[in-house]
Amino acid sequence: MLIGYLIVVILAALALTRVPSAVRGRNVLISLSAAAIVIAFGLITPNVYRNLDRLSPVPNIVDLVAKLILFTGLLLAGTQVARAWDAPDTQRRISGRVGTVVFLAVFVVEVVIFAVVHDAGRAVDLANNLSSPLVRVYSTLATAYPAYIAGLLLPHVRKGLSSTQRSTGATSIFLFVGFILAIARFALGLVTLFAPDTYYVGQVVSGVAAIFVALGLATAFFARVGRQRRAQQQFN
Amino acid sequence: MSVAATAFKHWLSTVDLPTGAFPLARAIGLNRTTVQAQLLRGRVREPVVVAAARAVGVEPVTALSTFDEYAELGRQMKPPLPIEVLSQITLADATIELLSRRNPTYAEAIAPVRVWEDPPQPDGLRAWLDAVDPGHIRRELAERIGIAPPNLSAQITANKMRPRHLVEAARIANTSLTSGLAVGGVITLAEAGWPEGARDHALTHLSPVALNDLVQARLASAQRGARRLAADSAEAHRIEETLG
Repeated sequence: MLIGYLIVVILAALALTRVPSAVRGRNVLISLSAAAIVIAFGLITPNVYRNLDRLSPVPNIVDLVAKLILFTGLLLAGTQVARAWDAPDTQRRISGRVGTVVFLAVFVVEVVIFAVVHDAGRAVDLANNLSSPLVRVYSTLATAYPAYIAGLLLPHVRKGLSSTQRSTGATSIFLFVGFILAIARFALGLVTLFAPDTYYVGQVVSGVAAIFVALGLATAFFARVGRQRRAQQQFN
Repeated sequence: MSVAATAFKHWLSTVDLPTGAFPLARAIGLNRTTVQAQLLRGRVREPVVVAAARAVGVEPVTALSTFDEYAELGRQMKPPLPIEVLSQITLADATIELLSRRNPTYAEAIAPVRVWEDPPQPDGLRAWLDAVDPGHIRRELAERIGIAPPNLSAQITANKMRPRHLVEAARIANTSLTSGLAVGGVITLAEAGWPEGARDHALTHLSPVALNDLVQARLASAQRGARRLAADSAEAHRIEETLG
């Protein structure tokens, strides 16, 4: 429980650094994706989830909304990372026709499963009822989309690890670890299908993966700010 | 591959060096944390062995040869091949020689500040591997050390290879086993058995055509590096602008 709050605080702190730039209209998509990921993780913290879900007419709808927001955040972040690495094919697979189909397919299947199992007790990811195979599929499928995005971006980010530029190397290593963890989370999700007890380990992995991705994006942000300051000093 | 910490501690006792991490680090002038971490892990990296050997005036090759992993090192130390010597001549050294041959006053002017730098030199590993390659060194080395060829290429490009791999490359090339360690900067050229002034001698005895070829090759290498730096810089700029 404490880890959940800690993850949200770290993600929120990293996202807040973006606000001044976003207000000036700079890299709004990345700022939106950071905000979306913070909101998604914030919604599934126990107290927020409990209070919001109590107000909603459909049990556990907050979980579905959190997943939609998370997927949207990942779609935006994934698109921008693909653009940053100059990978138009990957960008198309994330936000082009193929990407949109994957996004919608995963989410529609989630909605369908949710419609069947949503009233099995109020809990994030319907985790109160992990004994139900369909609930386990619902939970695992939600990890497939982040793994899809991570799998597409991983080869590009890996190339950045050997860059001679320190900022590219640092950004790449954080994103690389984050993406590896996102894929590992999906693998753990598959394990959860047969061993429900691994679910809680998987949730921690999800949070840590999000932190690493956020750190990668923050590194690029601070590198840009640092470069601009150096340029200004030279100019003055 | 590094050497076993237990064997290293035994060797330390034979050369009157302390076996404790902190006094050892102080005696050999290395970071305490580095030495302690390696002793705790049970494997000691070659630069630590070399630093310890230098601290007590033992030849690094002799010290490394006392460990099973490098038992053959001292026995198979030979003078370098002329082509190896040329591979460790930098663009600056080759250019100075070229200019000096055009006009001896250049040589006189630059003599007081000229320094023959020890490896590792920019792209020095690639130059050495290309020089000693019997035709299949990269493929065979990747197979022997059990890494994928692209990973080996990445290490060569980064100018960083593990000491054990450098020894293995020398073994494949049938040259002195110490040459790779020298080229990789683990030991100095002198410690590897290269004669004093070997590079100067090789350079001054080059024919004009061979010297031009050498300058051209080094210039091409420098251009590759400059292009890579420019491409990486542009990529960093794009990443920062898009994600920052």
